[in-house]
Amino acid sequence: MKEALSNQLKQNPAMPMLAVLMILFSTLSPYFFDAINMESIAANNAVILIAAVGMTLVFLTGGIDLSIATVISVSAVMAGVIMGHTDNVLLGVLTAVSVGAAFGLLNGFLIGFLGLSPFITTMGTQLIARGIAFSVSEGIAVQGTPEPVIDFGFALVMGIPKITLVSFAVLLIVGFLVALTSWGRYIILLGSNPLAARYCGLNTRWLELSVYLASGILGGIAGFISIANLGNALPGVGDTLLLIIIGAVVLGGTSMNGGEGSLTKTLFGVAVLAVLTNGLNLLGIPFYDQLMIQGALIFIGYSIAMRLNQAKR
Amino acid sequence: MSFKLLFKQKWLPIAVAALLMSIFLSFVSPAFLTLTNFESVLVQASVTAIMAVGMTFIIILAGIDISVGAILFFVSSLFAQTLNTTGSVALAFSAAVISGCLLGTVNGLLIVRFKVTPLITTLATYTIYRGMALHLTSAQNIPVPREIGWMGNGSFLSIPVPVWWMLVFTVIGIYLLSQTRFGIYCKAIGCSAQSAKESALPINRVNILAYAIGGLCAAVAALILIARVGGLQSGIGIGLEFTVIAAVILGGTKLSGGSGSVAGSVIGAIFLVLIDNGLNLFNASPYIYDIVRGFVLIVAVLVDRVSVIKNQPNALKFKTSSEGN
Amino acid sequence: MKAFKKLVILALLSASLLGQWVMAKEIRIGLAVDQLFESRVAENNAIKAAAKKRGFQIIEVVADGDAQTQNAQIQSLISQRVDAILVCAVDQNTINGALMRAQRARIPVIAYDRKLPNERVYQAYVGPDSVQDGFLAGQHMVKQLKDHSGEILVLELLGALNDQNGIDRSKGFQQALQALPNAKIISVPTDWDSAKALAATQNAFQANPSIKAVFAATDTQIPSIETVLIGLGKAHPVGHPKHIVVTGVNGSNDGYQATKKGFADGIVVMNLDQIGEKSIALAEKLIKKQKVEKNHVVAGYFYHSGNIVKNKDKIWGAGQ
Repeated sequence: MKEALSNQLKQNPAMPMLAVLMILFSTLSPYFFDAINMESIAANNAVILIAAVGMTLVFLTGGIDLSIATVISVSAVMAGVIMGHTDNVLLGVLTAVSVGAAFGLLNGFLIGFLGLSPFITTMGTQLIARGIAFSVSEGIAVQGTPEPVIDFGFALVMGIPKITLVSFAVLLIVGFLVALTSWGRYIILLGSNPLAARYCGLNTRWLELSVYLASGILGGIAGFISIANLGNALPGVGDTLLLIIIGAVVLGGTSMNGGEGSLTKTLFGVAVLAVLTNGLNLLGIPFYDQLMIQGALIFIGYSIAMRLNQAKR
Repeated sequence: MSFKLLFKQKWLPIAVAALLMSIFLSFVSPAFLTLTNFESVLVQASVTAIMAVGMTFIIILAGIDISVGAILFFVSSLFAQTLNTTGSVALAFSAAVISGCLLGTVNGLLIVRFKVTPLITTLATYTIYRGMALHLTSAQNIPVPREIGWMGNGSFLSIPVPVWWMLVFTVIGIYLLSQTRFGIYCKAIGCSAQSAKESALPINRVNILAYAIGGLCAAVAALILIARVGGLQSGIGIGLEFTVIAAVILGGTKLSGGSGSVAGSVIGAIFLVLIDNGLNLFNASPYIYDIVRGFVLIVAVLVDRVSVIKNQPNALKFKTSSEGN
Repeated sequence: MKAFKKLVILALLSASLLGQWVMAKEIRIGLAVDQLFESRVAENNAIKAAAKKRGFQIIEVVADGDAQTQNAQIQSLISQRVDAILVCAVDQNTINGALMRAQRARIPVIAYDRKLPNERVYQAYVGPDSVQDGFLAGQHMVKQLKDHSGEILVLELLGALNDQNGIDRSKGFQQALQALPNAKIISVPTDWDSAKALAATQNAFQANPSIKAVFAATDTQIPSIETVLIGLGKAHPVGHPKHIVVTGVNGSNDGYQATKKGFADGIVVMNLDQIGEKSIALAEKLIKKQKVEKNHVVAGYFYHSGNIVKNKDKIWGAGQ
């Protein structure tokens, strides 16, 4: 039992971090373990969790998707505009997912088939997505969100926000795909040893495209959820999210070099950053000090995760 | 210089692009071909260009530094705050330059000592430096008197000072890259860290130096920028890092490292300003700028990729390493 | 009868003791800030000073320009059972959910600096009259330009396009300019960023060299305008025949210095001290369950180079 636990700890460096933070904050602040507070943490990180799942997939293949945050914005805006005109929620969801998929396909084609560098390519698509989001919305929040969507954002099931349940569902589904399907195994192989993947006869081009496509679709879903959470589609919603998403995945222990990582790790990574920010706010730590603490934590967390990954080899 | 040699230069594609863009713009707007306009384009590009010189070395080493914008912000804050509290111009300038080098060195040290990916390290230092800068000034703006702002506003021999600095950094950068051991080591290490290790190259020292240079460039750029906007203004420099990286990539330096061009990076910075200029002449909506910039970036990598494929037909089918960048 | 009297006295005593206890518990006010920049910080300082005077505690949270973060922060303020919430919204449309929760928790909400379109989510609003502020700046500009003949090109540097104050300042400014029939306005957004304003002004003058006036939605951008004009050899002081008219809104040190030395014609100064004081005064009243008016607009004042120095102490940014 002890060995299993210590194994688990080694696998998930973010887990002990989470535990420490939770104990720390609940001792220091009477409001931390409050139901309203927990609910707020859960609701406001649903979007980040969904996007982090996408980023994890991309990291597993050794790539990066800088565009995911602005894909959230542009899918939200497009969905918001469609729903504003048609009042049709299903159409809104389809729009968000399609826009995300479109960007995902673009990324996947450029990176997987043409072999372009993921960093620069997604930097380019990030700008394009952002530009479209702001152009279409003219820089302001898109009006006309249908009531059912707003209500969904507020709704709870047994005390857990519905949007958080959606993010958990996404996590579980993608998690199963990665852990139990051959697709999942191929992705990890591609990340850890691309040469071997080639020699095994895998079609690495389609594989890579599928990963970026998945990331794009997840960005689209996250975009729609952001409308539910905020009540509006905001063109700037993704701007501050990129660093948080990367930070969360990295803190969780997924390696940027590929081949190493899991969605459980990402879940803990997102939780750590969420709890940290919330706790620091409750303690009244000044904003600029919060920035420094977050930066330090991401660095320390990643170093620890890296050491543990290397120790395994 | 024979034609063959010219075609091998990495900065040729971006130079051609910049030339074509200039010709196009001069047709669209008569005001473009004036001396004042040339001057204005160069001055506008100077901040990005100087930072791009430093970034070139870092990227050639297969590294990256996304904290340079925050370094600029911190240096500006320190400069303005020092000037405000001590009134000593010399002290303020020294503090600015030293802090820039220091922050860059810290980046290098963290990367080398802890072996954490440059992307994550500089992501962390980005938030830390930004927090430090805000803490220093309590998020206030601090004006800098115009006379002290000669770095950004003065001119020498009727050429604006920022353009002089851009020239100086370009020349020194080209020299460093092609004629010194440091430059050669950068290229070697970036090409293959493994072989560099086996050849006992001073990998750590080269890396730290490169990031320190990046910090120094950010410091000089800071002094120019705050002079032009009149002092420390909210969030100055934040977000610049991506423009700088784009300029370096457009200039022909490969993100995977091993080769690059300082001249290309500077021309890349100028090219980005020309694009803005062009969009402005068409009264384009401000949000189109992002779309165009993203598009240009992708085209640039495409063009580069096409040339690689022409030389290595197998490159398209074959990915030999997983590039995180 | 005696027992009844005793009961009454006891009741009165306990009521007063209870009252004392309620008053003695320290009042905590949540301050939800959109972003930290110069005028916001000055406004917050005024709020904090007013709170300190009354012995209130301020719990400050900064959203750094992210609407989602602000919603989370407001919820954390609700969790902390603050007595009132002062909020400057990151996005006035997206804050409804969080503030509705505050309403349900019976925490009074005072919106400061940014108006909120949904009246149901706040009890009171204190802020500048941005339309009037823009109008005053435009009015002065019109006075300076009315003798010019032919087309008058005016450059308008807009703030962020999703900021109601920026939109209103522009509205007021353009309203005032209607008094000048041959004026043509070129509007360029700057996202409140001085470096963007610098580039925008440079580009605008390059495309339209005959611009005769510049309006800056925030006077912190005036030094950038000065840099461009000096570079073009067009920076002539007020009174000079070739002077380019420059006005702005805000009240920062940049605007003060520029007007003082005669580069800018004048600035509209927001009365941040009063906004701060009023926010806390309203919070106090609402906590004591007193009725208050919904809208409190604090007017700005226009100062030109002639009278700006003697009004220095009314300008929040002057001489920092």
